[in-house]
Amino acid sequence: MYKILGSDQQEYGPVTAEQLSQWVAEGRANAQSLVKPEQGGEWRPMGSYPEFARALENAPVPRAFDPVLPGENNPGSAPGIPNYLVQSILVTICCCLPIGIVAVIFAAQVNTKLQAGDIEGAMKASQNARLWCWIGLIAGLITTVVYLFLYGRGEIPR
Amino acid sequence: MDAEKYPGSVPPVISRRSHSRAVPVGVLVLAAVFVIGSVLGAAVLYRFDPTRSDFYPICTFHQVTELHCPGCGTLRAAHQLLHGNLLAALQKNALFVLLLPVIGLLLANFILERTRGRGLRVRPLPAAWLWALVALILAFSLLRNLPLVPFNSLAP
Repeated sequence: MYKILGSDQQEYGPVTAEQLSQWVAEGRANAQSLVKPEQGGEWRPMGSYPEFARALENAPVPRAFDPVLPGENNPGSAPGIPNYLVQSILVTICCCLPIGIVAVIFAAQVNTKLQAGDIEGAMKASQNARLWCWIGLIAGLITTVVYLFLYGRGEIPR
Repeated sequence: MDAEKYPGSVPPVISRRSHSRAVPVGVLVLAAVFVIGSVLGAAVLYRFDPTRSDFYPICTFHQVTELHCPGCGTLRAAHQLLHGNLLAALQKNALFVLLLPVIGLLLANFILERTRGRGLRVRPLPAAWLWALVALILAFSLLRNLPLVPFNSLAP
């Protein structure tokens, strides 16, 4: 007989090994679930119990509506290479410097290279998009601060 | 023992949502600063019309070149939007108004990615769309600087 911590952090059991295997099949427990033998022993992940190896192997695959994380179950999908598109757009519109357009161009390049399967190129474009977002943001902040400073001293002609 | 007969004695089905990582403090602080800043900014923008107040920063690009950058007129457009004047907002900066829903969606996606480790369930945008966006921004930047009807109405 075993006790198990559910995903709600509540303790369940003691139940038989068959019942636990059933719970695995129903998606109520998985290899990460903490399990403890009723007679002493400590909480260990279910995956470390050889007696449940078979049940865990036959565990249901994630349901169709579960989002698939990039690179996790579908190696064909794009890995998590950010294109910083929203940051680029914000820099373009808010920082009043054409630097943002450069960032948007690199953001577009990230997706182009990803579609072509050029992971290395996409990562490079991603880094460039990030760099230009920062350049635009910092340039925008500096000019704004300088402006407000000059405004405060009454040096802005109107 | 048939656990199904005793409601509450069966662990719930594990959903991926219950496995969300703890949100780092830095992200929370940033989010708080962002929200407070947005609300304060919106309040100031609502109360003070940028065309009649002189404390709003002026676009450096505009001051140096006298040209309108793609962002020029954003504050005025936001002021008009906050007062519900969509047409006036479009006249001040059509690009900003048109991109606002896109910005909202992308921003929500970004924030969700950072806070629960997974964004909205949207596929990566096709690269062609992003190049269309680049073309749109460039065209907008060019056209709003042409001193010709009807393009000059794109200028703020």
